[in-house]
Amino acid sequence: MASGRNQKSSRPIRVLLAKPAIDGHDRGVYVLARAFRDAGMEVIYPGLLPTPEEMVRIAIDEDVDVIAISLLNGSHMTIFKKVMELLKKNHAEGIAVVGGGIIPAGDKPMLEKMGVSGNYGPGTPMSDIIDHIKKRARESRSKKW
Amino acid sequence: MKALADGLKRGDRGCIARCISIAEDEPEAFSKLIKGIYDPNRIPRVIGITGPPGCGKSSLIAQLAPIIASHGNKLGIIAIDASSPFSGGSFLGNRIRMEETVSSSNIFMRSIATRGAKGGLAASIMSALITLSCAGFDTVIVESVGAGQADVDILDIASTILLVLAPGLGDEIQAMKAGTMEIADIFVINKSDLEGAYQAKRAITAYLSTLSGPQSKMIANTSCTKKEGIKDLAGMIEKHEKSINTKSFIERAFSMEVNRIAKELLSRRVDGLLARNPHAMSNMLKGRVDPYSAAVKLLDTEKKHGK
Amino acid sequence: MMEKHKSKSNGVSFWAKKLKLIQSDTKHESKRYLGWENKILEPWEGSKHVDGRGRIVYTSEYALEKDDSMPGVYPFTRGIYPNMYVGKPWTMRMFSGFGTPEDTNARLKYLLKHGETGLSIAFDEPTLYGIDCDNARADGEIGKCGVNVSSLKDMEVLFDGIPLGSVSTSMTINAPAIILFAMYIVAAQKRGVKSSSLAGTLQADILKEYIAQKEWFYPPEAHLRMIKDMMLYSVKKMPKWNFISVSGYHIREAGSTAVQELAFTLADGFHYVEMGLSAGLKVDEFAPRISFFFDSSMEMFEEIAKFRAARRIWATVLKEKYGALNPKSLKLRFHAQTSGYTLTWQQPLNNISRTALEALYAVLGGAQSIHTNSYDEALALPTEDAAKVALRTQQVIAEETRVNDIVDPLGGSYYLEALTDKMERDAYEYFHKIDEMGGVLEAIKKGYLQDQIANASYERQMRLERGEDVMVGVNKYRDEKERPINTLKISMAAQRTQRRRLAQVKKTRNVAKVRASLKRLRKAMESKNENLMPYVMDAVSAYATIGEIVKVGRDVYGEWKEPKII
Repeated sequence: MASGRNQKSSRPIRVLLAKPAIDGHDRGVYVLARAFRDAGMEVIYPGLLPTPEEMVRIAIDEDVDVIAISLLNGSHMTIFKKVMELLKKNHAEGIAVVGGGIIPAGDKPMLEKMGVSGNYGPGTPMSDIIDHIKKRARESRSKKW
Repeated sequence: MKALADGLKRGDRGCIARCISIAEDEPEAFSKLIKGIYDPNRIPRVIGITGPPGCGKSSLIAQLAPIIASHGNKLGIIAIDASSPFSGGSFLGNRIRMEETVSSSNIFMRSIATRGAKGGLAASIMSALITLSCAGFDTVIVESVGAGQADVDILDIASTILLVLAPGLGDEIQAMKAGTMEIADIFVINKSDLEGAYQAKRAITAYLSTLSGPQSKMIANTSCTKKEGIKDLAGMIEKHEKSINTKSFIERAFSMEVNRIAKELLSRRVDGLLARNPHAMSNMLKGRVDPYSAAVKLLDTEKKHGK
Repeated sequence: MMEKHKSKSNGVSFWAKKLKLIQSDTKHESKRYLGWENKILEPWEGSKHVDGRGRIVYTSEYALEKDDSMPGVYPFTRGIYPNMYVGKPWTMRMFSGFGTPEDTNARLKYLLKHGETGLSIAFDEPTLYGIDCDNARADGEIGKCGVNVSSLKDMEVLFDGIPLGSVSTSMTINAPAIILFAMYIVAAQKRGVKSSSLAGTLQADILKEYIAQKEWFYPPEAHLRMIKDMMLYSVKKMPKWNFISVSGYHIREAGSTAVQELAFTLADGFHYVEMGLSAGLKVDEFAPRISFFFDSSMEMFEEIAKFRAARRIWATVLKEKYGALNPKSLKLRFHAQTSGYTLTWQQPLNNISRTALEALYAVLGGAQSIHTNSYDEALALPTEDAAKVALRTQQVIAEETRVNDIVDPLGGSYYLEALTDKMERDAYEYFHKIDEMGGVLEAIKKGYLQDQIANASYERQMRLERGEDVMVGVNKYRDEKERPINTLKISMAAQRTQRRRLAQVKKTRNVAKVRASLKRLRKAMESKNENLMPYVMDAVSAYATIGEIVKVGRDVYGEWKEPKII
């Protein structure tokens, strides 16, 4: 895995990694957290069960480039939608949102349309996810800076 | 830049957040950014919090914060975590959870990675404090890395230092005596509802009795699960703040910051010199000059350039 | 494994002594084997393929010196009954629950009709986190991962028309265990079924929540007190009730190794034994009511060895450390579920073979009841068709393969016996380490167990990334185009139905009665020794909701934040 430092500046990519559903199965997020850190990113982990409101506030306060959301329990349509609405309401649309977890193929186009990209399922190579986050972070920064 | 500076003055969260990032990444841009809005007399007072992992620092801050931030006081919280020396990445897991109503109004929290700094803080900490001061913050809680004896840089910026301990961490207390114990103004025995709190207090009292001279150090008992002792702790912090000359702390912190930045700039200059004068190193390696003379000669090159 | 001082005599702990003894059992290399390796294996051209993988064949020297017991005989390594499945096959217990109580009620009746022999109820996440369905926090999550229950009314609907006096019901209810248990008893009583005739099992093991599944309301001590109260209540009043199923399944699914699952689960079990003892019960009064719940994952021999080692360790420790005499106390009974982690959303039909194999390992390992996952569960909760295939898989094993005809057919396999011994040894190493840390509760608070699991799971992920471990269809033999399969959709209608019902309950219940019952409950919670069961039953009878009851507990006990482990 290459370094998570962005070419444009030396600033490490900052990513909020969250699992906002009412669900404590955190095996996946812990694996992601380590992999992101080892790829040179600064990973902000808000603990278990953050609400969409908390997530968006944290994302803004922490000036993250990307919000990575993992959802396993089928509540993605509700929760992703809420996060996107709140980002817009708080004028923070510049922050990229990347999804993952158990997301049926049929829901993916709708999520993409909302602005949630990735939507990776279990078994996706970590390097694919990391590359995608780097790409979205570059986009997010070019909008912010 | 102008919009960002205006937003900062207004206390817009997004602008504060962006400014701290700029302070971390581009010190020069940051210096331009705060020109005109920065008032050295308005630097927030800093309450430093340190202590071994597992003693409940974050939970304590979560309960202390709303008390300090009451009566319209704006409170900043900065939590520092270590960066990995290998990847440069970091796991910032100290976000605290508070009631939405309290936290959204006048508390701003930020996690900062050490990015290579030793001593428990990050190089950008003073700039982050300046940013918060520009946005009208009165008080900032700084939670240092909390990894024991190396964790003493907090002394340079905090006017009151809390050392948080928990029952059952007896060995840690023993090990700490050499370094971290001295810096504490208030010892907080957190998780006081658990067995062993009394023993912990006794160990600290015993330690204090070995110190010479008059002691103003205090001991607080708190329990975050039972929500006990937090108000008393806030009272102790106020008491300590009143007993000291905060202005001298700020002056000291600033002179240290100038010192740090100057050293960093010098060090960058030296890196540049080395890059531009490869023969300085190769001469030394070929045995033509000793390392000391090589370094003096290198700096002489700069003097010439300067003229 | 509660307190350090309790397990010590003469300064050396039981675990230290036991570990030393077991380590001294370690078999020496067999001369016969070494000779074969030197003369036959190494010159063989294929030997280069096996480099670095350890021994590839086992001999009698590595096995059976230590334990040559028979089934149904201490230490029960070969099974807890002399005749095992020859008399009666395992219980086919399919974990199910989704949507509204009406939805799940229909599914339970469907499964009973198709030959299921025991019920097992899955509750949704809002229920398990103590959040009422009318709370905005529950938006979009109601009925998604199990059945939603907010008040007694839902429980009444859930079991409507199901003969509670004759079925056995297992409920996975961890953090809100005491509330849902109380609801079950009260729902039965209202239909005239006495609590003494109720049979079932509670998955109320809170320790594994802090270790792995991360569902809790209060600090560990508060939940443990409730478990103690349920223990005392069922020991006294419900002879057919297993008050706790100590669960390794979630530990394993959270990413642990098989050995960690074995060791951490049993350490939790010993903690509950010590809890019963310190509550003044005699070990033989309550130990027979402790049952276990393990994962059955993909690596065949490791899984079977794990089940055998678990039985041997439990029997040994209960006898030697806790002085149990009743054979029932010494017999480790367990439910097994095939692994959810090994299911893939890629090429989902492959999951049928995985599940069949894993179920077979559980049978070969002597499980008392088994749940087989459905092939579509990496994508969603199972459809009725998929759940039927899963049940049929068990029936195929039970009635076509003839594995039932022989008790412990793999007993005596050199490799399996050696592996059983090894897993036992590795588990004792963990017991000793945990004891040194001050017991399992302390190890949890320090984040030690969580950290061990996170490390193991990260390593596994990295092995998959490097292709050292294989998941067919995921990192090998991938299909470019996946054909989508039908999955169960939980419509938002469940949310609406549940909210409507709760509004109705809140409108019609006697508010003064609810308040009074919660006030009494609060007082009992504040006291140190009052058994909370009657107070919770009282509150649920008045139709106090889960959320209301949990709020009382939060006020009294506070909350708990997990230790940071990265």
